[in-house]
Amino acid sequence: MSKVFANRRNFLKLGLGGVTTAAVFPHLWIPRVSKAGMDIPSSRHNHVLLFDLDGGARTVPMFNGNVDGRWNPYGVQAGSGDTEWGVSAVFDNAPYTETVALGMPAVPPITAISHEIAVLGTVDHTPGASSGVGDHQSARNWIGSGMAEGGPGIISRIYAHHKNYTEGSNGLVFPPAVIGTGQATTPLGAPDGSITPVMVPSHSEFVAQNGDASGSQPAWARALEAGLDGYAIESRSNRDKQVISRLANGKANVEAFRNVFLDPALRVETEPTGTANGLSNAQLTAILGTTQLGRDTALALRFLGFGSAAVCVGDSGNAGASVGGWDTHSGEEAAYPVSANALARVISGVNYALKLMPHPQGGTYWDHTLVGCVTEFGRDNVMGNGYNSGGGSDHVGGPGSRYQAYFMTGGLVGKGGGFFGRTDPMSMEVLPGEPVFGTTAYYAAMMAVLDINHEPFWPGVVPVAAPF
Amino acid sequence: MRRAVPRASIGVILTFCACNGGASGSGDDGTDGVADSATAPTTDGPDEGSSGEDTADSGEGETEDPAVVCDGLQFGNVIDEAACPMIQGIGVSPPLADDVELCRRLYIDLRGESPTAVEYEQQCKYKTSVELVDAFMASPEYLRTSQRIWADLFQMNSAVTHHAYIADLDARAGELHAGTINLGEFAEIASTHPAFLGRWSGNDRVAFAFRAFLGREATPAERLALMPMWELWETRAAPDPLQSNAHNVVVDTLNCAAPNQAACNSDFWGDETVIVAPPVPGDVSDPGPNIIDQSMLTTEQWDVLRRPGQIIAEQPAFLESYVDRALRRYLGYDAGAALPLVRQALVDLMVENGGSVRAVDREILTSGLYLATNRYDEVDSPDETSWDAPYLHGPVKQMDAEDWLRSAYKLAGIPTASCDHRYPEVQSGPGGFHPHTYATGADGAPDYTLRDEAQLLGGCPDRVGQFRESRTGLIAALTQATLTSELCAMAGESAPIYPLSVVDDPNDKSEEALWEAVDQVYSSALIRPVYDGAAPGVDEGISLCRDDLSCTPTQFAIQACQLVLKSADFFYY
Repeated sequence: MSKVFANRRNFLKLGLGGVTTAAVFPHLWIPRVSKAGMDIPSSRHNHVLLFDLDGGARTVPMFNGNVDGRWNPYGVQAGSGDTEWGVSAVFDNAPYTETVALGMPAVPPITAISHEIAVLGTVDHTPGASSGVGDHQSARNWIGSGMAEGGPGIISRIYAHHKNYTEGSNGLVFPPAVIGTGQATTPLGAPDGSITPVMVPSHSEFVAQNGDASGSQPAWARALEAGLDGYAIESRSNRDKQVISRLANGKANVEAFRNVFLDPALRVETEPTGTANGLSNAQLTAILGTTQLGRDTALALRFLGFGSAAVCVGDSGNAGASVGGWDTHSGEEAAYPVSANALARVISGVNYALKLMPHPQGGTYWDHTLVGCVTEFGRDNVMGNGYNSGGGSDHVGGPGSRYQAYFMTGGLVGKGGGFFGRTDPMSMEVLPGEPVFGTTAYYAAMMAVLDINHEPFWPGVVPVAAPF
Repeated sequence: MRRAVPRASIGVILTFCACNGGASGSGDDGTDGVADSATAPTTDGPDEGSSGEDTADSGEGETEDPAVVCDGLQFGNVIDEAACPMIQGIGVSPPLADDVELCRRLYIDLRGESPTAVEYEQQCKYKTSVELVDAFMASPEYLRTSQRIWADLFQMNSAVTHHAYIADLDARAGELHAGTINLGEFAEIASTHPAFLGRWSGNDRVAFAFRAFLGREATPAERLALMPMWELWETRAAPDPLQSNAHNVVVDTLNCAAPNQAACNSDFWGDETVIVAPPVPGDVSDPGPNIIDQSMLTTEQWDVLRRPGQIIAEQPAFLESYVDRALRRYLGYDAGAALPLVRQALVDLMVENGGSVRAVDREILTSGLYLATNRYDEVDSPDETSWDAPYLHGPVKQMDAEDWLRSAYKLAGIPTASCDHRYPEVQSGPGGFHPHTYATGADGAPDYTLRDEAQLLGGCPDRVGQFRESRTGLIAALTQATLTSELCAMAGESAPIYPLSVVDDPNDKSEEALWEAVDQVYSSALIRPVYDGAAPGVDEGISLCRDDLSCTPTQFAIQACQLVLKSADFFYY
């Protein structure tokens, strides 16, 4: 890596002043967009909010409920409008009323907004393979990178390839971020070369950092530090230069975004009056709730408001149940409803909040955001009552765990309420003639939404376009 | 320009020796030791068993057969011999790390912290690399840093498992690295140890046994097929005076009582049945005579129940798994895959030494791969496929968050205990907290200050929602900025890195004075002055400080303290 190359990467990562760069070094680049990709609303001004359900969540009962009791022991309930997917009876069907005290309408439950949520019922890491993925590590490779062998995380990919970061933008653009420390969440932030997204353990640990510390470093100290780190990088092999550059890049970003860290709006729990994008933290709390997932999602919305192209929020499910969060090999009967309703509350809250956040490009963030989920696998190895002998479920790669039900919502999803990819209610095998959606194709859709050409790293992959 | 301060002014810190078997070393200016890339081979000896004279020079325009080159060399280390065709065989002889670089590398790897200048003088100086390795491997810190790895693998956590079980399994890991038991014995014990069984249920027991001892995930088919061998094990709530949420591990002999014997049979790796017959047939009471606490099992019963670990230890990947992990631990890259002959040589060595993990560790630590300098001159290229292989130079690793923090605390004169790797969260009962090694507050509660700070950087994981990782990036940088700011403010007069001690005259903002200050601070942490290659950046910082009326020598020294502690030179080793 040449010095010029290294400096350019540093510079581009910051996303500041990039407009000047583009003006000085104009170039013609015509992205290769697949035919399916052309059906997807694509813009560098769009955003992605991705929930990673850490541990392997049983998504079928939540979003593909019209199946046998083995696969959905909770049953279904009516959804709103023309909802095609089976809305689980595990979801609470009452509005969330905390917002009323703030003079706002109650937040509708997921059952009342299901017509705005599309579901892919047959998401599979390995379409066409003889069996599904049933082990955590292989699944984490897929959901982390979209590739069997693993590699750069998709949030890092976005950081490395999104035009706001590679070409610059008109204003401050906060980097993409990963919130959470779960073993299935951190791979989404695995470095792409020297590029790493903002990795935030949680909303509370984020607030614990002192933004003033970065702001107090004078120019001479920064020069001194850059000199020391620069030689540490320069005097190493290319491989090690890349690794050590991540440290230097992180320091550069601290400097670039120090004002962001001082904004009380980012202190979602401790500064109720902190306001950004039309919503105070007190309002966000009322909308999203006070669970770890609710707070972390509030921070994610703040990052989007500061210009992040994409944020991944890791959800460890009901970790308090000590059954492994979403990885419920036992004790699922008690833990699952808690996890499922915490997620449902946040889906409803995001629907509510994004519609109240004006977007710089016009409309609201709802109009410019794709919200989705990912998880390692579903669950199987269950008996007739829907659970294994320990009151939980396993993941052995059979159709019950292989074909996952992922939701996609947001104003960019044109076919809300739609259900794409149907499974046999008894066997959970894909019904004849029904599509199977690869995880990589699912991620490619997110890349398309963000106007990122995925061909260089996922050549030939056709993005999932059905819900748009 | 570089300071006029003579290096001798740094005092004791600058006295080096060349005890590492004739290392070329980087010297104190840091430029001589930068290894040449494969395009510019040297003829220096790669290790103590291979002198420069023995190393064949391929000569310009000639390509010698690597096998011929290596046949002409003498090796005292099986790794060096196995790696030779890929290194010396292609005309590369990586220079050795100098004493300071090697001392720091070994100190951090085996003792879990960076040495101070005094510790360098006392424990490293004038010692050969082999003497250093042997001395450090004899220390309890080597056992602790090794036990921590197993604790991560087993995801030890007394919020789930009985604290006494965890303590016992941790002690067994210590025995493994002390050499009193071998890897096969450890696998046999650990795979059905109550700390393991209490942590996992169902087919996760198969999954985590595979992770720990075969280095990979079990496939779904393997998990289902092998789970019957753990079928008898269950847990029962058994509140402990020091742990209210404690569970005991028991054998429920009824799980495979007639006619359900097949539930404890696996034919995946041969026909294996793991059954303990109910002592009182027909009795289904619980608790009752057919539910046997693990502490009450007979030797004969244990012989049956430990079959899963025995079978795992018989698998071909068993020794390779440890070797690969040890290579990653010490070299920081997947040397087992990059140099399969090295992996095989270490497996063979392990067999010859009766499954000793110490033999493997020592061989790696005394190999040229480990002892080489990690300073390396390579032509810049954005094309990763063209990059030189990592084994052509010494290892570069990022310090574990906990190790970095403890090192920074130590330099700031505030020695602090490590996290207790066995217990991310100490549990309690009516009798108080269960035993642990955290510092204790006035109320008897564990002091989690270091743990909480380390967790922000990926260390001291809770092993429920967070796992050990090497974090960098914006938040990590911000965290380090916050922590170093606090530490340098707290550093007292006796602190090794006390920044105010380097300010002789608070009004002297001369270039020489500021250079001396930054050199002294840097030396306090890194046992050497600033590298000459970094001088232009330091010059710029000094110049800007001199032009800035608000920059005082005292402020300069304090800032130098902060930025050295979070510098790449300190954080990567």
